[in-house]
Amino acid sequence: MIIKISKIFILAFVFFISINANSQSSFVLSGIVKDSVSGETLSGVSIYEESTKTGTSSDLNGYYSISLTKGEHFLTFSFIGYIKQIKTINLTKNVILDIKLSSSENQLEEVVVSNKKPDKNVTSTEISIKKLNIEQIKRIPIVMGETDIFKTIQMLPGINSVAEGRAGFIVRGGGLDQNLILMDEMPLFYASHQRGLYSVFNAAAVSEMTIYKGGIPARFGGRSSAVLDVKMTDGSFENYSGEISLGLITSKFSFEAPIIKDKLSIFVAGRSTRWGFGYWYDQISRNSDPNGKGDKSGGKGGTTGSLTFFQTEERWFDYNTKLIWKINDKNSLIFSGYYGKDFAYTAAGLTNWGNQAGHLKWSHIFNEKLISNTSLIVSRYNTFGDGGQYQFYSGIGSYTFKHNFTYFAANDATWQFGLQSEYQDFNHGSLIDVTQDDGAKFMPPMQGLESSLYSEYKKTFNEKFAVHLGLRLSMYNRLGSGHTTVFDEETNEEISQTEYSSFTDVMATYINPEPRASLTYIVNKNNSIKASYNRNAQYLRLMTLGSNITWYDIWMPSTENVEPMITDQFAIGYFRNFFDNKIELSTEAYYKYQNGVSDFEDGLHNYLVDNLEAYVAQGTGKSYGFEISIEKPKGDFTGRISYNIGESLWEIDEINQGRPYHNMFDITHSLNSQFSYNPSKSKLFKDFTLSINFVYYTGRPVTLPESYYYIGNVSMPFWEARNQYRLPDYHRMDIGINYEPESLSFKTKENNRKFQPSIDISLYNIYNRRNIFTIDMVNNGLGKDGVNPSSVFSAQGRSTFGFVPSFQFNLKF
Amino acid sequence: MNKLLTAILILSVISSCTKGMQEELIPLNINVNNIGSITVIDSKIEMDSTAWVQISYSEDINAVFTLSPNYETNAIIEISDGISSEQLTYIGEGVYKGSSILGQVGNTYSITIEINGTIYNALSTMLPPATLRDITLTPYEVADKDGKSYTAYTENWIVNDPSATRNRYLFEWWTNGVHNERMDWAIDDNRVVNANEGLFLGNITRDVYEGETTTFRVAEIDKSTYDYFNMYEKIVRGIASAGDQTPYNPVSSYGPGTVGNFRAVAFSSYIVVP
Repeated sequence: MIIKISKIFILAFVFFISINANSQSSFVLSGIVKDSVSGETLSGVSIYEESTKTGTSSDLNGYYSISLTKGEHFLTFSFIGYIKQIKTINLTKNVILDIKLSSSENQLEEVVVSNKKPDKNVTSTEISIKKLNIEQIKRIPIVMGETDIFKTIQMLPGINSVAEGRAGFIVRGGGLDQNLILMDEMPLFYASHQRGLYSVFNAAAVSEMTIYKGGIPARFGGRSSAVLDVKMTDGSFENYSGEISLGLITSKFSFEAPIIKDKLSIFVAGRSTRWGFGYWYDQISRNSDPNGKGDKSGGKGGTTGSLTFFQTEERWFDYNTKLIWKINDKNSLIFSGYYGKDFAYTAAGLTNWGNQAGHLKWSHIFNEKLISNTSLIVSRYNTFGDGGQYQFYSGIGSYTFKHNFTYFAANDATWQFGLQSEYQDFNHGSLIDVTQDDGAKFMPPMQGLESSLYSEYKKTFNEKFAVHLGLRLSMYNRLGSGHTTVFDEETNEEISQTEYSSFTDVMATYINPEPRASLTYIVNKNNSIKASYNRNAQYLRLMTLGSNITWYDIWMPSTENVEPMITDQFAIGYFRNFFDNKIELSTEAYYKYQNGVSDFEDGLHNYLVDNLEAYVAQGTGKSYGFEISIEKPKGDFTGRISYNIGESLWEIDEINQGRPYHNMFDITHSLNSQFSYNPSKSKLFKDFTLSINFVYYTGRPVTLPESYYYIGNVSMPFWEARNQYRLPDYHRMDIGINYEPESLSFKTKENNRKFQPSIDISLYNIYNRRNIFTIDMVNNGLGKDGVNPSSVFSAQGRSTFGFVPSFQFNLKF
Repeated sequence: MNKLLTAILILSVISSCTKGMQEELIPLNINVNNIGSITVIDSKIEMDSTAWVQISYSEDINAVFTLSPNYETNAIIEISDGISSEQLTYIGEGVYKGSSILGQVGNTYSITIEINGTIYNALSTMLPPATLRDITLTPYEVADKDGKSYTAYTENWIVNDPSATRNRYLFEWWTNGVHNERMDWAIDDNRVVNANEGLFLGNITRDVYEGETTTFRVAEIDKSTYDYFNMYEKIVRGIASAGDQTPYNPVSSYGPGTVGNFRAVAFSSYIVVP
């Protein structure tokens, strides 16, 4: 008996030893990859081990983890725009190795990847996703003096603007509110300045951005069509640096510095229309148009001071800040903040609107395989209008707690999971008559709680197949205080109401599972096929009365009367590289079906109604299309041409007599091209970079009257159907010139700091095409001097911009 | 030095180009579908007055200018107050008038129109007239192009509006006997500030000069008439345009394929002569 037990123990011991021996035959190499100058973490860095042909990439926080066998390894760390590093490591235990990569001088030169590994366009598991770092973004010609994120992404296939100078962007026929816009994970509800001319993203403060047109990972939720995830710049832990830009329209600054070297860094940036040349340009504009003849729209008088549009004078500013505190090797605390405001002065008075947002994040490294991030996020958007007698307020607030984990299960497998809860409060409008003691009308406020759990797993098999599977489970609770209402479907009048007095009262609940999946099949190093499916639940909707987002549009949550929108999107694509990855071809086809699209019933022109929900009509929508893009991403000459064709239809019983109609986001054809040339080897022109954009797309749908009639002596137009016609097609060409002469740089004697000046010249809409953003039907009335007009009504298009030149002087230090 | 001067010259030229940032209006030729004619019926019965109906047809939007439409001259129209009924008589320019049935508060009127075998029906109930609480006239001086001074008046009206009930009103302004049809204004008290049980509004046509006469009429209206005039005024004043998400025709009392309204209204009328 004793001998038997002993044998068991001996066997167990040997087994245990052998297990440990096996587990000790591989180790984990992990660490953080950063920019050697700024100290900013770099995500998406490729880490490749030649002998075992294993690789991985750094995550959003620059963290990487790779499992390797015991012994010597040669690792290549490479990232576009940086000089690759090769490290030799003899692994005998788990090792933490932080890497600092240096930026290459020719920032788009080919520096990436061992020649055994296919290009990312072909091999990545991502479909319908495009990532750009700031160096790539800066290659786009500046527009109106700004390198603009929204205008950059509108150059990508499947993404369009609504109209010139209008806020928001359209992705694959999806609505403007179906795009989740994140600034360092802070959701933004109106992400534009100056009615859409500029985005709220200061390019000087942007590190990288990723646009998800489809194949949206499970960690994102709350919107149906797309996610724009913008990461802002981290401050440097090594050295201080900055940039000042003075332009005709906007001026800006950015500055970063280590407060405590290697421990605490800060980054700040700001922009305004009222600094520097912006203010002087304002005066030049006023003086060049003293009689106000420039504005032909019969408005205020044509002053062009501070960029006058729609008879208003508009100004804005914004600020970004970021503080990073490296508590120790395993813990970091990060704060990112944004504050921005727009002002518009009209004959009726002052209006202002703006976003305020903040994000506090704790990053923790448990071990070489497991990291977590815990976040508290606040984001608010408010509007205020002062028309003398009447004042108007509205706004939305979002308060979020997030807890996410990333587990590096293996070199070819990553598991991410977490939870999120977002409290939202809605103020749909308060109208106050300042001349009356109790003259106020308040829209009932609303509250909601959007919570979710998610899990996503990414795995590569045999370097041929890759899958990315995810599941998001989301729940929306409409909370008190407030009241639920039953409406008469015919008259929209209230039938009955139930009151809820406490914020803990749940007035309505929706729960939706949201599966996500994408699959990649790598045919060979030059070809791949990818497919994806995602289901997204959207519990908020932006209700707009016009054809584009305006500052006074309101966000409405799902209620007992207004159901969430559920979107199912399928995409399949073929990807191929040519000439040793010098040319990249991407093709994709997509189909989206949406249940619960929302629109206001015909004729509502005012949000200030007690029964606003009753006017929300819901139905179904579908979008489908095909995109193709050819790109040369590297070299002195770079460029991209993309084309997409598609259709987007809605069907809502209460609108257009229940007949399907093209929604206002339907763009049939779209062609975008951008080219950039920097002759780096030319002595005469090496300091110049020339960029050219050309944009073309089909005019968006509009509703026009087909006939007219008289009521008494008043002639009236008659509309037969919604969105039957289209605006004239949109097209324009922009040219940008950047001059950054090395010969004009200088260094200070005290600390040898280098100052590099540069000039950006932008020629927007070089052939002065007056693209039309809306059509008015003008009632010609009786003729003057006894001569009657040829018709009772005539069509008149309105155009925002013609040829607009601008320049900007920059100084980097 | 030459490079610097060239750069300054180029930048100066650039900085003077501000025209491109101005909004411009561009005439367009638009081809639209031919949808045929729409029947237009404007009809009413006012307090202590007989019924009035005008019937016409729409024209193509690009049709040659005309001051008057194509009228219907052969309609058969009958109005009833629930007790008696009468047939209206054609008097010209598409207008048909009653002779015996008068508008009375509290009555529900039904109207039936037959045109070439097609029947159109509508109903409306006459609500009690709204009442005026107060009017204030604020004088100010204006000068004409020759420099001559005049006294003008800003009119502000307060209409009694009980906050406990939902009410809708139709306002009309007549200046020196001329009805400013384009300025007819419908208000739903659910959508405006109600202060001290009153609706506060100014004359939205124009301020009046000394010696001129303003006639202010107000009536309480039902929902269908409010919906009609709410859209009517937005179209007429250009608030609803082709660029709107939600332009739509005023809801017709007579159903699909028609435009128009039937309203039984009791106006209160007030005259102001500054």
